[in-house]
Amino acid sequence: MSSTTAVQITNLTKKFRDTTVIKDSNMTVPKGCVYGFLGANGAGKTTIFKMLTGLLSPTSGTAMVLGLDVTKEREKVLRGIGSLIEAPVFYEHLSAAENLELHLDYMGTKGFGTGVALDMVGLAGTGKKPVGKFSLGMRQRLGIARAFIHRPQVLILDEPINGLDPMGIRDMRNLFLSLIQKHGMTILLSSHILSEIEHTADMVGVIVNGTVVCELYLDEIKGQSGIRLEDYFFNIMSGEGMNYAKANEA
Amino acid sequence: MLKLMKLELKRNNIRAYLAASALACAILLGFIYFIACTAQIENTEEFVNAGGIAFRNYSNIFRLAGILSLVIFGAMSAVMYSRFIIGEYTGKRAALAFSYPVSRSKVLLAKLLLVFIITSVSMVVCTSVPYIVFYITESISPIVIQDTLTVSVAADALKTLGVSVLALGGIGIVSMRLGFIKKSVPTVIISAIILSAFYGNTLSALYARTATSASGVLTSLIIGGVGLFATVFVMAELSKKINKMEVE
Repeated sequence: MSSTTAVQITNLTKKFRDTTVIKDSNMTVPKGCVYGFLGANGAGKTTIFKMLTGLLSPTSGTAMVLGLDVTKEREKVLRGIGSLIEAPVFYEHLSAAENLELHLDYMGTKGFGTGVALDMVGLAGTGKKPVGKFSLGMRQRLGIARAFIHRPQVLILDEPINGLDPMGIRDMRNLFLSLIQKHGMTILLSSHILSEIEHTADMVGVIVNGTVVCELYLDEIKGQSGIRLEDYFFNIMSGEGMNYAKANEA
Repeated sequence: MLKLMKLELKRNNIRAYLAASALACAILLGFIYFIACTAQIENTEEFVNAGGIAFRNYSNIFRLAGILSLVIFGAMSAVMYSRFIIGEYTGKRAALAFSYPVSRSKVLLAKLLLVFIITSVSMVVCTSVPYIVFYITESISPIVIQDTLTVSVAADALKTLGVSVLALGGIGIVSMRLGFIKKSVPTVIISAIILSAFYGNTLSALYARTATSASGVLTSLIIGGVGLFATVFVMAELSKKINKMEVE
């Protein structure tokens, strides 16, 4: 694995009993970029993220994060990543700041500090309000804050804009840019919303039925005349456009 | 380990358990006076034939109160283990628990130790206090006039309490492991009550047969040893399982 690579999966396969959910997938995420992971519902995005964060073990193949094998060095990997996978879970009776403090205690670092992190996600005024009384959008913002507060090198965010209003989506886009530009993080985020990936990502990986079928820089597609990004990805995601993608890669 | 236990305390609200312990203390106190008074008031032939006068004896009063205490704190420990272990490793909560760069075995051990310490201390304090209050009032103005409350009777009661605390640890952990199979809280609680009642009855029967002090000590050691073995076995086995656990 190259020193410029943040995440690499090689021939990754995951089976649940008799069902193969991830099939022989490969993925390379360079350091310092926003990698948009695109796929339809149930394509396998979350399963791959869970293998990258040690929540699931691969049936075969390897998942490497920051040069470390997730299966063999789970604790070291967890120290270097921050994640938000599916709907975030909190200690409902505690406030946002208390939840973040607890997280920092477990991570063994002061990170950005709770005040700064809450300010960065627009939750500075929540005070002692228990998280149990937060709206869906506030919970999502807090989940994002918890993912980056300990200053990880890699952020793994599964559908991070779920439950956010348009203003919130814009705020998070700016936050992600700032985390990359000012704090040198690498962001791997999944979405099934094309426009979101288009606005946020530098590079895109597309997963169809459990296999990563293509990876490319968005600028490469945007530079080609006569191609609508939406059509391009719809074709790939529907499985009809494999040849289309390969032809363009060539 | 101490830091992990402090973090467990921080994220789990234990006030409800402390309040429940205080309530259990009051119930035990009331129960001791209730059986002592009932054995004195009731004097019918039917009551005597049913063995009611057994509670005109301090050892038996303490023994029954001890069994009730074990059932109460067995249920409380089951609820706590369910909340701290089963609740934490079920569904989406497990994803949070496994997202920290801390050994899963150490976190589990911290949880088990914390619940064991809280339930044991609660049981010792909340059972000793009614015993001591009863001992003092009986020394001043006895309700049980057919028996004499000596220091050795009270010491025996406290010794039995010590063995029960060890058994409580075993009962709580074994019940939790049974409930963990199907991740079912009711299974944990019902198992704890059944095991507590079974242990209490076995202990009573054994004490009744082994009147001599030496055999009583041996019985206590055997029961304590079984509890300890069960605790260590379940901890090791569960730790292995949680280390390999996946969050689907």
